[in-house]
Amino acid sequence: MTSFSLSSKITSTFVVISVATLGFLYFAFLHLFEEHVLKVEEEKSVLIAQTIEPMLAMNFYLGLEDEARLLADQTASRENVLGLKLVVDGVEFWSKEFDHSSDYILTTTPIMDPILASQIGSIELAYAKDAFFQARTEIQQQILYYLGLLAFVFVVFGLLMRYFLNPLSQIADKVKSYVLGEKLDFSDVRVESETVAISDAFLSMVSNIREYTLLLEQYKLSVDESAIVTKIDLDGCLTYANSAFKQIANYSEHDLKGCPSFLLAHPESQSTQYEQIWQVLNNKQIWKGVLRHPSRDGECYYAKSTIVPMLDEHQNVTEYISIQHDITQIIEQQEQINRQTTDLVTGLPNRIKFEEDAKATKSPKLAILSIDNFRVIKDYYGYSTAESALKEVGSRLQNSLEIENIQVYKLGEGEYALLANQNCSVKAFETLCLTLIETLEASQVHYENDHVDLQLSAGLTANQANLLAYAALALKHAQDLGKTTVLYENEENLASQYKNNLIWTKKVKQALADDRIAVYVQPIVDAQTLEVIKYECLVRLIEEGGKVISPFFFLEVAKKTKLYHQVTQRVISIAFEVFEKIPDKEFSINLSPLDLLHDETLVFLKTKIKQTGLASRLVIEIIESEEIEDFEAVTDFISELKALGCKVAIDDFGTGYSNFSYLMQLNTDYIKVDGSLIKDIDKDMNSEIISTTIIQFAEALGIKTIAEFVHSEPVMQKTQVMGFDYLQGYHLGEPVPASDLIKALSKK
Amino acid sequence: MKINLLIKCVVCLCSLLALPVQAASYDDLLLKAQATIFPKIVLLDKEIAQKAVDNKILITIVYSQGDFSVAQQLHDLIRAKYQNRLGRYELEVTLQPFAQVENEVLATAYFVLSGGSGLVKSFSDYAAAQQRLVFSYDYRDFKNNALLSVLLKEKTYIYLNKQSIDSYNVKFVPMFYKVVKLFE
Repeated sequence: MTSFSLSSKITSTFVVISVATLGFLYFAFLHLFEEHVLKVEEEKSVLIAQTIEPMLAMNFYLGLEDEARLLADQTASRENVLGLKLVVDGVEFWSKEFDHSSDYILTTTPIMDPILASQIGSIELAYAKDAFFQARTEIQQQILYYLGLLAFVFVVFGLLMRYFLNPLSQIADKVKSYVLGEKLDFSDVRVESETVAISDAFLSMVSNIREYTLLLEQYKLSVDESAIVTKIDLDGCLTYANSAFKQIANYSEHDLKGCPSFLLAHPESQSTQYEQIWQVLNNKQIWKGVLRHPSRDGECYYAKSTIVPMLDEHQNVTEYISIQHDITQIIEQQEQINRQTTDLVTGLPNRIKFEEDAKATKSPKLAILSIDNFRVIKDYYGYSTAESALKEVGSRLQNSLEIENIQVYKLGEGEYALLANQNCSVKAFETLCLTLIETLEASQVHYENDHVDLQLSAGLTANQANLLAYAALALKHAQDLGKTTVLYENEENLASQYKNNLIWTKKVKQALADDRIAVYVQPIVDAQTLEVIKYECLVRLIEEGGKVISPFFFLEVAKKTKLYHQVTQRVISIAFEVFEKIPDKEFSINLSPLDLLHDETLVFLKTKIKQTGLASRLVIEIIESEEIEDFEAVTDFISELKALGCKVAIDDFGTGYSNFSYLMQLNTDYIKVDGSLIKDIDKDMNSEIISTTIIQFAEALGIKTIAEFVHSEPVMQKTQVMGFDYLQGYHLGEPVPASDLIKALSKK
Repeated sequence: MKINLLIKCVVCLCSLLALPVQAASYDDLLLKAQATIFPKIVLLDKEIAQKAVDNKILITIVYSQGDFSVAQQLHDLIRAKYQNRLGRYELEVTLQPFAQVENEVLATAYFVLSGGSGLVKSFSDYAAAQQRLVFSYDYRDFKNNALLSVLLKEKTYIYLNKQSIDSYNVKFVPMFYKVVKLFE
């Protein structure tokens, strides 16, 4: 294919455009000119006719026909007037014939009556086009003359263009034959300002190319050093692999040559992933993702991969470059983290994961959903059924809440956390929880032959700062009140209660640290002789200012923390210290079911008993107002204590969970009738009847009875008459610090 | 005014008594040509509308005593040519002798037959004063202040008395001046 020089192209383009323009102008002007000249000639013809028309009209009007003929003769003899015909009243009045074969303009002008202005005849005038033809010939000659002149200019222009552009051809030849690395020399090219600019531009470009090549080589080096790089041909075969790949995959150059790249895919990798990769690559797009590859030694590694299709100038794929980063360690760590953040029973994320997610959630709302009867299920149906219930509830919660974008976590025993984000309003969340609980309670959990009914409640909060604490508080509140759901923010007391708990927790902790947990002792007297037989050890917290705080303020709070057991152990410790110094007197220590189920406390107690040998004087008062969940464990422990020589009393009898069967099972030695029955016993017949029944029952079982809250003389007398064995109350002796008792007894 | 009128009557009577009564000779062809052309020239007067009498073109043929029959012939020729219609106007042609014509209704234009230089001159002056066209059978009456005449030679010529144009103060349509011959 012949390639024309730039100068030829410019000149020929200029010529073509100019000729086309001139041709267009020539024909346009010629056409306009013809029209114009023709119009002028027509106007001339009309003008001649219009000039003679008034005179002809007047002559005809006045009957001066000779004059009219004379005028017609004169007109017909004018230059370019080929013929003339006058018609008056429809009759040819005068005419001059002419050669119709020649070109002429024929005009007809009416002759008007000068008075009536009506047409009386017409003038037909044939006017020669000679002038028109002559003018046209002249303009054509002019245009052709200028075209000839222009053609000459074009030739000169072309030659000049060739001369001027010759350096460009030289530069082009040099650039075309340039080899990267060689010097590009334009010194023999004719110097013109433009050629110098172009030469400089090329030299600059070559310099840039060198820099970029260097940069690319450095990039390649950097990528090779930092990443696993492979090249894959269109068939998926490896054509290049850097040392990092060979090292991680433990393959040699020989092993890899022509090896189908995706044979290196790990056998466990899903084939659909590779189908997707090829789909993306075939669309000439970049694929990014994580691939799992086998190494030669049978291990595998994970690689964060970017596969880029390399395109030629026609946008056809020539090969693929894969750049990978080894993330095996990250993946393994992630798997380990996942294991740590997953509940093993339910497979749900656990509390660790919850705390991470809660921090990252905007406007979080939390509901702690509790299977209230979980312990019963576990005790009654066994662990397998309980676990099955946990899985089933977890699964149902997850299925129900997936579409709501609410995350489900497994917290403590029988508890789930439902975490909602800013897309869910508090009201909607509360309604959703209520609906969930209703749905779960309406259905049973099935395991083998067991059909378990669920009892659930939930505590909710939207307080981001204290999510878990507030939700737990709300849950406790719901459980206490027997409500299905409680929203923390809707309960005014909860906030102050929470605050109060924090204050008292802090105080108890500090008091333990400063040894300000004290034991007060209150005497228990023989009902008949009023002699002090024994003492009940009561816990007190001494504030920094010396103020004595009743356990009413801090013990319940302490129960919610690990501090409670420390307090109990501190009381046990002090009580033994005191009564080691006071011989012959029994002393009682209060233990709640919480204490009785706390191994560490029980071990501590048994150790103290064994160390001091005070078992025969020790009475364990079991607080009866609290439900004993693991009754079997408690009875076992009591039996153990009794075997050591200890006695057992049931405290607050008559109001709580205890009954006579309970008393028999616990094998108690004393019953302490609740103060609510005693305080008005001198006036209240019902209290008297109940108390009498208890006394009779106790007598029948050989159990001694103690009347609490004996606060006045009438009450004391009444209880004495009724047959209580022992009395206790402010009327008989207020609680005093144990140290005071020691001092008082030592004085005696 | 009465004295002037009396003087005019005396002069007229003396003239009638002093001159022998004789008829001039008239060319029928010329008469016919004039009967055709003259009414048309009347319409070329730009102020014809003002000069019309009751919206009629009134042409009065003024004659001397011996020319009544010629006047009548002329009257008949005009009537024959134009009937009662001239252009957009109704045409009326009357005959009046020189002696009475000035006492009658002022016509739109006058056709003066031969009447001797004194009568023609006197009447032409009168008509010129009234801005009325005076068409003379004999172009030699131009010296008596007649305004227009027609002459038949090798062809028909319309003559306009150049010297009288100003005294008549008549304005024709412009093209008329192109076709008439000015009589110097």
